[in-house]
Amino acid sequence: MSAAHPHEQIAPYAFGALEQAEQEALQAHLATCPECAELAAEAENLASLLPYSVTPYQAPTNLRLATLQRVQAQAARGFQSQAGMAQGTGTQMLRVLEPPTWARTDPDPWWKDLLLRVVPWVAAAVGWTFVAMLVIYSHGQSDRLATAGIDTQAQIASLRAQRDRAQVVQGFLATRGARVVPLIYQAGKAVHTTVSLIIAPGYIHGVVVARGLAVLDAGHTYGVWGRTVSGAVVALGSVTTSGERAEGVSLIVGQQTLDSYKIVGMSIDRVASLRHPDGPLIFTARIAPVGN
Amino acid sequence: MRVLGEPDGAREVVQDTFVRVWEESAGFGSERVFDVWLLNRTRQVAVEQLRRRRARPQREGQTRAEDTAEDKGANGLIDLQAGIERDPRATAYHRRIREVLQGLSKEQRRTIELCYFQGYSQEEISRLTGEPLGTVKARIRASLHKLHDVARAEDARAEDAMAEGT
Repeated sequence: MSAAHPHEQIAPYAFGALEQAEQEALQAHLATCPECAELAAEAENLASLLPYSVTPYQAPTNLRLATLQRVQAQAARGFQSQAGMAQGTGTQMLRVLEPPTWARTDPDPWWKDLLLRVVPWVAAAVGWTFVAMLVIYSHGQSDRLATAGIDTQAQIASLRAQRDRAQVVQGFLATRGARVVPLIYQAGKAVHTTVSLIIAPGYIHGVVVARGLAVLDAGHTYGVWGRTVSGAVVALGSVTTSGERAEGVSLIVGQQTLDSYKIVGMSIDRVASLRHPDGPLIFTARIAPVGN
Repeated sequence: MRVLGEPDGAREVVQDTFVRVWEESAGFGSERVFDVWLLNRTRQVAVEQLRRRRARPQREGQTRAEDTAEDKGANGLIDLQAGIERDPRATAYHRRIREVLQGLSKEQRRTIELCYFQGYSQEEISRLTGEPLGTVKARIRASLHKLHDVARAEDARAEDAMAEGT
């Protein structure tokens, strides 16, 4: 031991037994001395065994939610002072905080970003192609049924319903300018999760494409909602996590066109409760009128 | 809960800790172990609150901080006789840590209790217990060495068990 390397201070430091001034002096030394910093880290590891000696205490059921709300409130305050405004095509995103250092990852390779952009479109295109084929089939089937004299009302109504749904989708596909609205993770940068809403102007149907790790437990249902210009909150659908993943394409059925909404988002509350914006939200995007 | 001894304070500490983690997360280097960092932060927040509570009655002249410490600290050893073996919430890991702490002497456990769980410095412990400062310091260092030895032995035992299992 020597004054240059105050090893005798490491143990009391790990157990929190130093006076404030001593602790600050040691921390300043640790910042410049890798040898002592390594010893201190090992000592802290050992000291961190102590909490595990305590009988576990069952946390109240609402503690997780209350804590999340407090952190989000803190993050929201941070938006106003730290964040920049990101601009997207046709979409004005909400301000987001920079992620903490430990949450940052190395930049993804270029192909990964491309893949993330392309996969939702490919998935949507495959789905729509399937429905379009269904329409063509249903047209032929309807004619065949009619000529074959099979014209029970139920069969015809069913086929017409299929055709109508498919036509909506066909029209959606045929519409140029379908918008991909990335929903922004509110607690920072969701490096492992992307959620996008794909919808065409003039149509009330769209899809939410989620990829990555689920933010909440498996089987949890996220509510997808939109808030109109007049302030009304409208349930659009829901996304349910499967396992530890949040992957999937969910159909969104709105009551109004996309341009009628000021904000769309996902919250951890079920849509049925419609507690947003009082409830905690996870992903959100502000919708700007087309042309802005 | 262990530091403050009551659920409302513990709930407040949890929330304060996570807000602080959010605020200070930029200072967390990837080379550090997150749960150790989180546990240290939690303990720090809890101890700060405990110290504030201690200071309050002292100002109001109701209770001396030393009395509180003696009630909660000197007599409140890390309770290895609390029957964690019968506690359904305790995991095998909790039980193993307790076994590790059984390796410390009674005096060492009392010293660790006072500094780690009650937030007293070495000097304060010396004043509280009437023991020389050098003795307290030596006991804290010896406790860490003991933890180190027992943890090493535990690691070796776990490695042997894994090797036998493969």
